[in-house]
Amino acid sequence: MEQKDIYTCAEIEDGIRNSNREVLLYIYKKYFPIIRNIIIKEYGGTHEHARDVFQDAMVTVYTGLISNPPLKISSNFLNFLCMVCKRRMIDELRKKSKESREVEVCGISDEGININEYMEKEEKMRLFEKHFHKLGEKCRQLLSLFLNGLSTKEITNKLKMSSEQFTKKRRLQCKISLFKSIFTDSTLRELIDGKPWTIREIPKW
Amino acid sequence: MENHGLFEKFLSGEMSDAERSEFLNRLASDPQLEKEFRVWTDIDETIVAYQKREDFRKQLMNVSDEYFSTDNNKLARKISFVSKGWMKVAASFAALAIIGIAIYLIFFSVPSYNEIYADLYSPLKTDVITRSSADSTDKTKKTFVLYQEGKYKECIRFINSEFSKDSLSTQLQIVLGLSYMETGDHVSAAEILEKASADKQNIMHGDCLWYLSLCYLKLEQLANCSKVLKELISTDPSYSEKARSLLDKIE
Repeated sequence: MEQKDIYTCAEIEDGIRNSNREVLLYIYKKYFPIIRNIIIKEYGGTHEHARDVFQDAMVTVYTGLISNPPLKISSNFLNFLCMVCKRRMIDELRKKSKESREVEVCGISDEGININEYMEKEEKMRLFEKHFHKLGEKCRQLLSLFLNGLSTKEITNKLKMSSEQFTKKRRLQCKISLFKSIFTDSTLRELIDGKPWTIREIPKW
Repeated sequence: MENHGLFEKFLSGEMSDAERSEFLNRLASDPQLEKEFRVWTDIDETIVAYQKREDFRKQLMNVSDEYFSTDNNKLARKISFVSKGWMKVAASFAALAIIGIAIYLIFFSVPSYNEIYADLYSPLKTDVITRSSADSTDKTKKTFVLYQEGKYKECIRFINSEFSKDSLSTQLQIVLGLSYMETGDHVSAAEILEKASADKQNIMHGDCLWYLSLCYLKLEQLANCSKVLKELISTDPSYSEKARSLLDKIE
């Protein structure tokens, strides 16, 4: 995809999905100043906040686009991105001020996309990634290779494991260890049992 | 929490029809089991997405660095030639800070001077930093960019090595003072800002007084702080409310 002045929403979606440098740069040039103004003016944030929020929002969008079924933004990318950024900022401020009241927040974009779904998914992904990082290198490789479709035999050879039986056993041990560390994390309880975004209150800062 | 074998058997398709049906019934009737199974399957989804997300993050970081380095250069150029636009930004900056102070004063009990300082202090926005076109040399530009990029120690070193102490312009004195504040050297910061504050015609005079008052606050020199705030209230309307709040607090 060559550098253009204007990209359609579908081209932007494709560009994000393929991590296309020109498209990502275009998104920064065109949308970051808008998002920065919103974060600073509406939420009292800083330029640094805006950078982080914008980046996190882009990862959320990317994850939505590579999900099954994939996120379809259709027409207004900016509108969607704004909603994700605002939601992230509200959540950040809520956590920072230990705000616990519940109020209503609109979570549906103009195109009927439920932002909450993607925000919760992102939160969950981050939590899981945090625990995945804590696993040993070998465990991480083992689980990744298995899910990338390599056979037990291939994994055994690649990781120089003693036998296929051991590889199978080790994989299960690694996964159980990961499962337990995630499942006992209190953040997970909030994600699973917590009230959905749609009935959370917008905190009064 | 010991159903892993069951989950694996189900997911690998090794269950008989009867076992499968029983498992599905249990899933439907046992919320705890359902939760565990959901996490078990979500783990796979996360691992599959993990590498892709990591690669995307890296690419995004590269693009972000590219964008912000260009953006910074533009800002620096803009700073050299725009002399009036800063007032709007300064006013917004002051308004945001005033709101912050108001909320703080309403909801919290009397904080320490350090806490007040921490609440009020934030680096001066680079687009608020202005200077006259007369001194817009490359070296001066570089100083502003260093401050803007958060390279405070480097900024101090650069000013001290590239400029003569006696011929330092007011704006550069202010940037030097602000950089000292960022490095925690409030004594040097107060000293240089005090010198800069003598130039009452300077476009950054209000900013200078505000940060000088914060230095005094940090050093707990309340009489000096109060004196500077009073001067700020009478000379710069964009800071007056914010300064008045701080004055009320320390008096």
